[in-house]
Amino acid sequence: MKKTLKEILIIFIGSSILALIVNAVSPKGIPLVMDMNRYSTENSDKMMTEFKNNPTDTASNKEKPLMNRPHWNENEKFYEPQNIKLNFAKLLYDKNALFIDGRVEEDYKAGHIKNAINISYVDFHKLTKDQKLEVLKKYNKDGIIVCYCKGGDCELSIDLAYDIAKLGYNSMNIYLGGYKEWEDAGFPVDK
Amino acid sequence: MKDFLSNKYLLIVLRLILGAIFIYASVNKLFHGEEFAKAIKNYEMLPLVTVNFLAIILPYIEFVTGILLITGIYKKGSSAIAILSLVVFLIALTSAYARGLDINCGCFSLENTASKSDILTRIFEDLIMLIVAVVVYIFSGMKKVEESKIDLKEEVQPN
Repeated sequence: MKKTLKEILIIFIGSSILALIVNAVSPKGIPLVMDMNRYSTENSDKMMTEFKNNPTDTASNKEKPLMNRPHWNENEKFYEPQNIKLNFAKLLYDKNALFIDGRVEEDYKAGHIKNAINISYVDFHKLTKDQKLEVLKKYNKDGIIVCYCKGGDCELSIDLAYDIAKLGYNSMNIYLGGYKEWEDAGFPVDK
Repeated sequence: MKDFLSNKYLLIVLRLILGAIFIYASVNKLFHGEEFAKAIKNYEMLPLVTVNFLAIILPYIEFVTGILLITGIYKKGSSAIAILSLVVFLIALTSAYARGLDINCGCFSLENTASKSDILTRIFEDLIMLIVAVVVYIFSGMKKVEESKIDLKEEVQPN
């Protein structure tokens, strides 16, 4: 038994060291700790309260950032998107914020949040910077934009929101619950 | 039954199969840490702070375990790790199934979300592999009954 435990430890520690070394040198290596901001909705309620206290026209504001954006990314110089919950997404919907569905066209056509436009991340991501800006040119860079996708394990909304934020769109939000949660809640959809 | 399961050729075949499966399962995950991290995260069982670390080391543990099973080095240790891994996967899959989570299993491929019937299939496959791993663990290094009796006889024979 002692011998078995020794073997288990050697395999476990040896494999882990090998893994960490390869991860450190590999161009596809990932951080040891996940970026928590990517999935956290802890600021959603606070932002919602602030928004309620300072309601603005979500599409046209040009003077200042519309919502509390605590994360300015100093490295890449952009305002990081904020994750929002269902209740805040619905409030923004009622205030005519722009909703962008990041799924492929086929899924969008099968059903989407009412009045949402479709920018498929899979296609958008392959465009050049100028091409991306061309796609987005009619939308206000300081207007509130909400990206969503299917919900669950879908991360198209996150990836799309970050892509758009890096182009200078300053009030990007990610509704992680996605179309499934929205539809289950009985909120307006187009099919 | 004990004689059958402790047959050295049967154990070699079982180790080769189990080892090959572990290597195959790990290969896609070895260089796609980000996707595997997302798959782990979606099980919603672990603190987010541990997800990336596990996504980095687990595929290598799987891969090395597979190599050791095939080569017959550290038979007990590698089969014990195989048992531990499979038990953990089974718990995760069963929990995801019970909670109706929309997940990518992360078992072999990092693409596509698994349907409930896919998850049940994976649970069944893992159970089979677990039984194989347990057999390999118990019977590796175990002598056949007759050989043990012969050894015992030689020990007690007066010189």
